[in-house]
Amino acid sequence: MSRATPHLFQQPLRASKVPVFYTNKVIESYAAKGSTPISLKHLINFGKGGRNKGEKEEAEKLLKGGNFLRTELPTRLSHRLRDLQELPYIVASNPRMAHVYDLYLEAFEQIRRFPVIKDLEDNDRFCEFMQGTLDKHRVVIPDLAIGVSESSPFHLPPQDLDTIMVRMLRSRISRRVITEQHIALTSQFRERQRSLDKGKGREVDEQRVGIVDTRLKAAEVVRRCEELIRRRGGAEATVPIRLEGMLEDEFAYIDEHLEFMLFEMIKNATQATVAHHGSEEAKHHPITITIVHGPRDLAVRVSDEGGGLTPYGGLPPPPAPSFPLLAPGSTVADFATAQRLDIFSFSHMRRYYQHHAAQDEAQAAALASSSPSSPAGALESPDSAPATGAEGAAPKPLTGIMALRTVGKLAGTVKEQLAVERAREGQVLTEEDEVLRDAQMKSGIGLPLARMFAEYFSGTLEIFTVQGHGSDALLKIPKFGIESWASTERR
Amino acid sequence: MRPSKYLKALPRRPVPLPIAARLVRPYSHSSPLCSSPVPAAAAAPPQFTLPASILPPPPANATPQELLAHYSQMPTTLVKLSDLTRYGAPPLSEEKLLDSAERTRKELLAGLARRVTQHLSLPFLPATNPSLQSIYNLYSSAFFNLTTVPEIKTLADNDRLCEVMEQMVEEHRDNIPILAKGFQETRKYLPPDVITQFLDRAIRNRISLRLMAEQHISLSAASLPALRPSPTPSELPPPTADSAPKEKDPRIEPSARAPSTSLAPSRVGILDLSLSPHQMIHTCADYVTLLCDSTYGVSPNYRIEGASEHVTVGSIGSHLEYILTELLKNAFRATVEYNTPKREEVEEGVFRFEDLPHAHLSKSDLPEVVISVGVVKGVLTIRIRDRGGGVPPSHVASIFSYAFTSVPSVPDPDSDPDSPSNDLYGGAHGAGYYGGVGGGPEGAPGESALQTSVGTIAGLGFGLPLSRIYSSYFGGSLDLVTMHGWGTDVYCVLRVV
Repeated sequence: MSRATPHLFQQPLRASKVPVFYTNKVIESYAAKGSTPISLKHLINFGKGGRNKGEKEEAEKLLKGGNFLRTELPTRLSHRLRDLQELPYIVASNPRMAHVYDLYLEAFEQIRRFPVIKDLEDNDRFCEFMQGTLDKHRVVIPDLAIGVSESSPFHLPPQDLDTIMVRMLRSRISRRVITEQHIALTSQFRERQRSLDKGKGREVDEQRVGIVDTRLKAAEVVRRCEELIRRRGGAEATVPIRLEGMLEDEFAYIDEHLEFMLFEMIKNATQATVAHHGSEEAKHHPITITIVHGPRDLAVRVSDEGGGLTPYGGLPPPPAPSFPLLAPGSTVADFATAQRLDIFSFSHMRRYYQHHAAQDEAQAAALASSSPSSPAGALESPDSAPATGAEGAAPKPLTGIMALRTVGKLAGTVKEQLAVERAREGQVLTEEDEVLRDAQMKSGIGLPLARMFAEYFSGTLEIFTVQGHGSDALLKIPKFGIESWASTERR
Repeated sequence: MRPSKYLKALPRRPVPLPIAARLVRPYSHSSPLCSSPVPAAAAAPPQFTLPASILPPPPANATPQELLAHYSQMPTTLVKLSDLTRYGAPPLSEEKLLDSAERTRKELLAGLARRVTQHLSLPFLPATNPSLQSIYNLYSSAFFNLTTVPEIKTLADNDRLCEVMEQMVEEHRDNIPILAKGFQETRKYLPPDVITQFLDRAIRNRISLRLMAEQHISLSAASLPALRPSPTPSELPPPTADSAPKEKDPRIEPSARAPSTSLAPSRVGILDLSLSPHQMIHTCADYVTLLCDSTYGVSPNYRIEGASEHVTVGSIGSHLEYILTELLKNAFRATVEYNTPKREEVEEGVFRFEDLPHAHLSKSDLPEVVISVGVVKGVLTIRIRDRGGGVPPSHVASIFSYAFTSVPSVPDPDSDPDSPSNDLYGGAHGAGYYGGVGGGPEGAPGESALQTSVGTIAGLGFGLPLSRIYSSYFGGSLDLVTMHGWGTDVYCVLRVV
């Protein structure tokens, strides 16, 4: 078996003396191929299909899956590389964007040169390698968010910004899903093999197929999110949460995704409630969470009494009269009163970033002239609502994506965070953990990301607001949805 | 469409030839207006244009066609809330009142001309429909009546204007149901989007016309006593709606509330500066409770939350009243219908007491309808939340379309029995958000199954689209969010002062 080591590209690619311009042929040839959309049903059936037949068939399926990844991932990466190449020069050459590009290029080259997977050992090696890549790419979201926010204000109109971010992130989610699914299936397979060796027999875990939980209860996910909020403490923990609707129904979904979305929604609701009513009153204004299972979809509504949202999330309205999210044709309804809020958009995130960057600059200037601070507080986005209060003299915590800038990665999943909090049991948070936690809380990227996750399997996440009273966040996800990113692809 | 359809249709709805001739009847001039040089572009509503007052006056000896052509080219504008308060609170000075009168006259001429030309641009056969004809006649006679009012220079001119406008407002009260009937009958000759577009524009335009007319009538009524301290009875402005019998059917359409209150300090014409949302919701919800009780024998409770009951906003009460009544009717009806235990095999045509909802239900069995009110500067938001089962996904798309464009209300022997629109009423739940299509204000009996079984609470089938037009008129919005299998939220956002 001749296996070339997949480490040809250990040295940084950009260091190459050959100008990038002339080395693009391979990328282009891959990018000419279409990618294969995958449905949730497909993920489940592929996983179950092998499992139910027996070890040999399952191993074959795994090899097939691994080789599919080996060819599919470079194709999908090549599309993103082409996307990045199309960005305005100044945006693409921003150090953070360049870093993302390098990571993608490296992954592209490594995966496409990975030798064909012929047996389970090959597959294990591939999984190990892919896990490493996944970990390495954790910085991509903050990098993209900050890079784009820093570099693009004069070069990317809001609509283009949203398009590129949506494409990058959706594709990223989908790549991670198929990769993680393969890794999880492999490890589940190995797990069963081990228990077989111990003579316990082939126990088939019916509920989990890879990363998909086929008997997921939305109510349980809500309770997990609730527990995390309670354990984190603060005024947010006192906001009562009422659950109603069809609490016992089960469905199949990637539980990590549902957790992320619901946690964002519930966290925002608690923050808004505290910000609107103050930490004393908040316990009298419950959040109502309604779970409804339809024949084809699941709907979760998080309804709070947090005073509602202003159309621009507390920021001054953008100067240009172009609001891409305003439904076309509604010429009469002006944006100030329309329900369509732009807090989901990445252009909002960019304005949010710039707003805070300007504010920090002003503050630094004010400090330099040794006058006491500070104007903050007045303009808080719903994402970062309750920054006022306790931290008076302490070094001002960074808000917005600025905070992500120092941290450089996003916090873990709800389950991971919950494990950390449970282990902590009342002990003080380490500073690093705190920064990490606050960074994500206040980055303004939570909602756009949550919507990405919702839309990934053709769901929707919307917020409707009663200004002056409260907001309703409504998440709808189809059961057995299909990857929706195909519609936003290049071709 | 198959040609045979035309042939079969003819005996059922004969088109008497003389009707075609009536197209031009309102004017003595025989030249058909259909061929009058009305540019097609003029029919499109201009978005941002010069105010009408900038256009030069028409030549003195213009023929009616020329007048029509002239005024239909005049840009019309959407009324803004600030326009209503332009002259401040009444009583107005004579100069201001006359200025308002002249502005109103011009805007009305332009708006009416546009209504007339819009009808003239309909295809011939649908245009000969008697209902559409009657609307057309109303508009054209209103237009030509108004052309007889000279430029407003004196209070006497103003009286004349008010007289004409009051007649118009009164005569045009039931236009929308008549239009609905007309389009329901001509459905097979016009594509749905043409009907929808026509109605959208007609209704929007009509709101503007009524707003302007009623606002000026109301301002006049409030100002004239001060301008003419001791008027002789003959000079009194003709009695306005406060004395006219106004048995308003809120089902049909709102009109300004009686201007008798326009002397109240909080009123600027028809704009109420201290309107209490709570009070308005109570008024409407009580009315709908009555309707619901009389139809089903049972109605859900309702609860108002959010802004304090003492909060007031500046808004047009009649618009809010209409919207709230429509939305609450939908919510109440859906709540009752969805939560009524389903009886198996209801025999057709046999009345049994136990088939009625109230035989099994009392108020406390029904989930309450929750109305949340939010008020911030310039914006009033009302959310109506029911647990009436929501709207099935397949119906969501057509929820804001005029019902008669998608639902056959008259069993049509020609229609394809397999066409999907035929079973739109199939599911019992979710029907709550579709009104039946009534014939006119009296509702011709047997026009739709839903209407006969539900009576008055199922409106005319355009409660939602009309409510949306009303709430978006001054720059608000109306959104319907549904959780199928649970309930529906409607968010109504109104711009207020």
